[in-house]
Amino acid sequence: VIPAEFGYRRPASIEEALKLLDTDPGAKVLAGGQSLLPLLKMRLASAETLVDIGRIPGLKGVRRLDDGRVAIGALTTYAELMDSPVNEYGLLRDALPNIGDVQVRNRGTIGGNLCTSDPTNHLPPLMAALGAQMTIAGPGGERTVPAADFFLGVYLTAVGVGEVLTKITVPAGRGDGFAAVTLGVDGTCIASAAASVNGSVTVALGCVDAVPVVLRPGSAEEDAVRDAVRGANLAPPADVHSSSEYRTHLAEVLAVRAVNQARS
Amino acid sequence: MTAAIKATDKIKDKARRYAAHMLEAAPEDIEIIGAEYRVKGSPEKKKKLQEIAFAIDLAFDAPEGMEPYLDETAYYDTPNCTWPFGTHIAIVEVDEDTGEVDLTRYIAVDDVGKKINPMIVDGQLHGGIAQGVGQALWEGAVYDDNGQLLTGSMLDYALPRASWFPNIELDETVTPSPVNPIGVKGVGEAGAIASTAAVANAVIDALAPFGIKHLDMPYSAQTVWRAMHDAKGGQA
Repeated sequence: VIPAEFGYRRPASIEEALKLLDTDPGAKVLAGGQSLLPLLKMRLASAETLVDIGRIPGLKGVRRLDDGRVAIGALTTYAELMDSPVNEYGLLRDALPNIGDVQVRNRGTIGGNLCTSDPTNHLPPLMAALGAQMTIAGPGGERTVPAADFFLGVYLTAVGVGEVLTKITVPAGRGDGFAAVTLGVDGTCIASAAASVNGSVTVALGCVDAVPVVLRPGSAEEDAVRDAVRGANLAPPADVHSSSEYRTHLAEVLAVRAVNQARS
Repeated sequence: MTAAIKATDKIKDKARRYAAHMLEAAPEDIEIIGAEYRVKGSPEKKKKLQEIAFAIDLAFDAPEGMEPYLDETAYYDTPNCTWPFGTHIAIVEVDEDTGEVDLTRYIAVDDVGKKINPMIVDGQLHGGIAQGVGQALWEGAVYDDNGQLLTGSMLDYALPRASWFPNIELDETVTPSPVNPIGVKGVGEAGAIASTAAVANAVIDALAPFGIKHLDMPYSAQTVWRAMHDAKGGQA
């Protein structure tokens, strides 16, 4: 319950943040603190220094670009997202109100959620299905990574040591859907599926592997979606909430539901 | 509650005797109206309970043999328990594909005798019902093969939250208990006792078409799906 001792810095700019991260290899980036702080308190994670990027201007807010894409600042909270143009994306509209509770949604950020890469988080499969682009700032400048390549493992992403996720860019809204089975209404996720349909079909499954499993069914028809999930030969982990078999079954059911929602 | 009333009666009796002393009247001529102690037939001769309490605390002038202070202790051994009763009805929907149980409506009519604070009684029922539904649907102590508890923290133990419940509909009948002077009964366990059975029976009723007559709680999505899956002969 009480974290190990750590230093605390609050840089005023992204340049200053990158400099701090560069000089302190034991530093971790703190955004809304809704994942990192519990991990520190349970001593499942540790940090020499927390670099709090929470007050850096320009990393917050949602902006529609001229070409219809939507750019989301990494520090935008769930509550701010719910009240923004991302409401056009049905899957985000459905998923966001079920993340945590009001207090968590007022503090937790999209960037923090994605960088945590917890397999039970809703947002990684959502971003993978939408085909979002992640903008990462580092000592050598900015680079962009597609969501499908962003998640590397449990608590592990393409954001390397000394780097910070600054922006998520989502393609223009189209047919999309989301379905999940959670504990109760908004508890821990047992399995989830996000879908995007725009000529081609993309399905991203959550909670069945360390990272979202991205599938491209041949069509949006139910049989094609089921075949795609079966063809992925999923071997999800078992835990106190679910056996591997049940998760595999849910992945198929939820993929069909997400695609159907995306088509409607 | 009965002991509290008996202690209060003792205090009122002592205050009456002290008021009689202050007002130079006989104790049986003192009438108690609210917090005022008056001499019958002379309403201008009166003392407030606060004045009596203050005077008897100082006790500069007390009747022979009377101890200072207005405090008393009383005990009560009830001749029988109180018997609150009620009926709870749960309506659930079961998702055939995922096994998820959705509690769509919950109605509770309880008889807890007379209520002193109705809002606290409602709160006791809400909390008890949530606890009982949690036992029926989500909360379970899971151990591994070595006897290690796997659901030892709030991260893994599925304690329900307010957002998991429909609005709980409460109503009442009022049958005062005959075993205490004000007709009160207990309420603390009413919700927790009825709700587990109501919700579990609703789920089993929903699973009747599959020939399922019993499952071990909690009726998690996986448990319910597994039961339906097996009943269908293992076919999805």
